Amino acid sequence: MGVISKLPVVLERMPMGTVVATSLEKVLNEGRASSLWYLLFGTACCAIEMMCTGASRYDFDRFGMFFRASPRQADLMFVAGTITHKMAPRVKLLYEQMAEPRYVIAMGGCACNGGPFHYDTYAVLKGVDKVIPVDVYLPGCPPRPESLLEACLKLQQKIKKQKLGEWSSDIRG
Amino acid sequence: MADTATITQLLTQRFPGQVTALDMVPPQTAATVDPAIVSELFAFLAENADLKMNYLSAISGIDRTDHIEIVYFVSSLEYKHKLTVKTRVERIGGKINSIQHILPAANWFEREIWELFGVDFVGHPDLRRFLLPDDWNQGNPMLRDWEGEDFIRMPEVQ
Repeated sequence: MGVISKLPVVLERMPMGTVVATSLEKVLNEGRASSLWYLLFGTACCAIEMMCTGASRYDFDRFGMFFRASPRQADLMFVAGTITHKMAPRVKLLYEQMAEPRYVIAMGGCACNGGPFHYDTYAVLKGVDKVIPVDVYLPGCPPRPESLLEACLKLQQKIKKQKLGEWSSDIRG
Repeated sequence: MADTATITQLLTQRFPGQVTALDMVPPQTAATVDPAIVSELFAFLAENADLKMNYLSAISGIDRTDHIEIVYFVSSLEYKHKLTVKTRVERIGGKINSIQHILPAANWFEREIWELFGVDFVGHPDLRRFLLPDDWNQGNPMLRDWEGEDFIRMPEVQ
């Protein structure tokens, strides 16, 4: 991301640079938002709902979203399902292997805050945001495919508002 | 196929005074036994020609607050009859003989109970970390009074 994130600094010093920067931003963000390739990562029942959304009835493909079996080719990670303490380091590793800019949707109650396993459990991590940063929280147990599509639209809105310099997750936090 | 009465009779003949059998849902039989005899009991169940109970479905642990109950579920693939064996051990530092040398399936079940309840299975060849995370150092989480780092107890409903 080195060159792209330094671009605004360079452009600011040129005449008409900001106009170029905003137009470039628009084009890049539009492309970014319309081709969210997501990582096939599901640990529990939410994964079934995610597969259902990816299949022909609800059809993720019309948003330009395709599943990727490798984090190296993915922009987006659905944390679909319960994350246990044993799984947490693996989730973090997968997230760190994704190329920037990268986005996370915490799908379902378990990934948001532990959900049905919030109380009286020794094994479940209470929210995936203890391990990795989350962009969109999607409640539900499990959320319907319509809700998942809604979450993706919300994420696209978020991406379209980004500035050129904000792409790196160490700035986004 | 041996019914409850037959199984009860065979067990009480072989282990007098150490087995009390009772009906569960027929045709299931439940026997409460002295923990000292488990290895002889399962050897007898597996080798007896009328029982041939050599298939172990599961071993469960239950924390009864003053002791830990260990429940064995055995059945016979040939005769299609089942038996539930219950026994009790001390809650803290409990010991019981391993049945892994008689029924190899017990290996992992015993490892799990050792890890989650802290019951020591004497004679088990390989008691080590099984299901919990590798860096786990918070004791035995299935005990009812267990408290952990980010463990949240269900609030009392008023």
